[in-house]
Amino acid sequence: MAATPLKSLAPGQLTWRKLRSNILAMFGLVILLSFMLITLLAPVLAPYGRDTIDMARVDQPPSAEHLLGTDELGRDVLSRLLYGGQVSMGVGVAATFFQLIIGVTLGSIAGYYGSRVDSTIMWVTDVIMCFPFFVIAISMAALLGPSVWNVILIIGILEWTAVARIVRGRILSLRSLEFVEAAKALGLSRWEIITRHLIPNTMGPIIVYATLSVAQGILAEASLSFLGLGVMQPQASWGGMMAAAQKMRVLQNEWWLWIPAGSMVLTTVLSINFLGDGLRDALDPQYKY
Amino acid sequence: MLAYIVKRLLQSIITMLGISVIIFALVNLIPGNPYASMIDLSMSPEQVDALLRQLGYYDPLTVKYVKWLGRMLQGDMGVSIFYKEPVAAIIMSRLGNTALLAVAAILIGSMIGIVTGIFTSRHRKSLIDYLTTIFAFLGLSIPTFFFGMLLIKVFGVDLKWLPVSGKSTIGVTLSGMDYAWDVMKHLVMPAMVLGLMHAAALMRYTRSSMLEIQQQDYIRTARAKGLGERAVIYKHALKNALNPIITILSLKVPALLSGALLTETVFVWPGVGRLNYEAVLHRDYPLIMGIVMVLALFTLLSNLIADMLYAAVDPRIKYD
Repeated sequence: MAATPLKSLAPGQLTWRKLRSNILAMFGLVILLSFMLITLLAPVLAPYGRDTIDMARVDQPPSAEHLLGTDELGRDVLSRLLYGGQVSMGVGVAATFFQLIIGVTLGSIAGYYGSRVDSTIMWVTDVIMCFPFFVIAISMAALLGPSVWNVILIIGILEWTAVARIVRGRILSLRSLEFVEAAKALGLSRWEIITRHLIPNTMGPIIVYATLSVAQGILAEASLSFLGLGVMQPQASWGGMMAAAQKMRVLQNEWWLWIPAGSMVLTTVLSINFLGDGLRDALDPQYKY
Repeated sequence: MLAYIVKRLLQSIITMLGISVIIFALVNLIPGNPYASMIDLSMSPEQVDALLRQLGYYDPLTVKYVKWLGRMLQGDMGVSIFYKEPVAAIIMSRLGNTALLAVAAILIGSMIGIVTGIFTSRHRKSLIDYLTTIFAFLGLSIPTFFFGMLLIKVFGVDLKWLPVSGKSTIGVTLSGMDYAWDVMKHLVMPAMVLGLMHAAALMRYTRSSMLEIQQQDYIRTARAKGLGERAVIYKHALKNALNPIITILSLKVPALLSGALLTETVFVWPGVGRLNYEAVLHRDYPLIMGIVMVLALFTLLSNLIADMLYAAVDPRIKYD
């Protein structure tokens, strides 16, 4: 009974193997990476400048010169779509980082310290979760004024509660395990226990949450900019471009001004959701929302 | 059970205080003098000063908060700058329309979501299962307003099957069934848009919950005693899978209200969401804060009711 030596895999390799066999997740990953690449290369790829105005050619349908037509100022829609992607995806990623900083910090403090600290932090999350997102978001946008940074700020402040709850729940169940006792017995400080031993053990759900939250961030930015409370002209963003369709004339006859931008948001968010779902299966099968 | 209810009520009151603190903080962030709308231009500076003193403009923040909270508790949310009417009355006049839209969306969404969820859980890994899953993902990924605009373009503008905006046809007075039919036609598209996201989430929930429950011992027992597949699925599995649906629905309330804001804006549906958007455009701060307050309290209340219903429905819940 000679045991065949099994090659042991690092957790990262194991996750990658599982993820690789998930067709939808790989599809999402490929689309996402290529979108990121083409939007980052916008200065090279875009046929025209983001704000190049050409009053001789306004509201032109797609043609050989302007593959996706021009808007009411004669700006090239394709070029603005590429530049807009930088803002839309950038906001999604930045807002996610902001949420993670607040959420992971407060969630791990609540989970580790328990008692009063825990109930105070959880009270704050309960309160914030009572506010329907767009209701409070547009009210804050009205007070703060529309800008990219305010959009990131608003999403971050309102959406960190979910990740705080996930991290708190995990740490609450981890903190009575032997390895934490051992770490305490070795004389590690609370800070070291939380940052070196507890948070790394919650990485699975955090990664899954972070991925899906980029998608939520992109949707939130698109909606706020569509309502005129997010990214402002001349800066381009996918949601801001779709605001053109609030005019009936554009909605009826000038599809190239809003359908491409909407399709970009849909495809990007869909890809991220596929990837996030695949990551959940690979990293954290028993975890459900 | 009584102890549980009392505890949940106390919790809700504490959460409510938190909500009021946040809104009060926002009120204080409002640029300019919040009492400006009450000041008459013909008043002398002394009169203005006396009025401001009486209204509490010079009070310390904590005193201001207590006075503000007192007015709120009496249902006095101030006067709208744009409409020049009490905020509470304006909100009340729009709540019914939002309720109509939300109920229609929940009905459409739950029906589609639960039926497809059961179906795909019974035909796991079939082509239809994959296709439905992809559709569910599409439903969760499409921006609400983009889906709404696509529907308006296809069914409203190009095919001219349905009206594109509002709640009823303007300039026509209809009554009875004709009026109901007119409202129905206006309701179809917004309810579809708002219901879609809901259907997608519910389908995924029902599917995974049905699959999980079918591995339980009591399902094996039901099969072992010779029950037919239909009885097993619909009488035993479905009942238990759908128990938590009260909680799921109540957790979806903020998302529903949030989605209603975008849907109502796109379809010019005269509900609280559209009102909120217009209030933001007009910078009508008393109205904005009133709406935020009402919707947050509504969310809190629906969570509370859901928790109690759930405890009443599921005997396995412990009340401590």
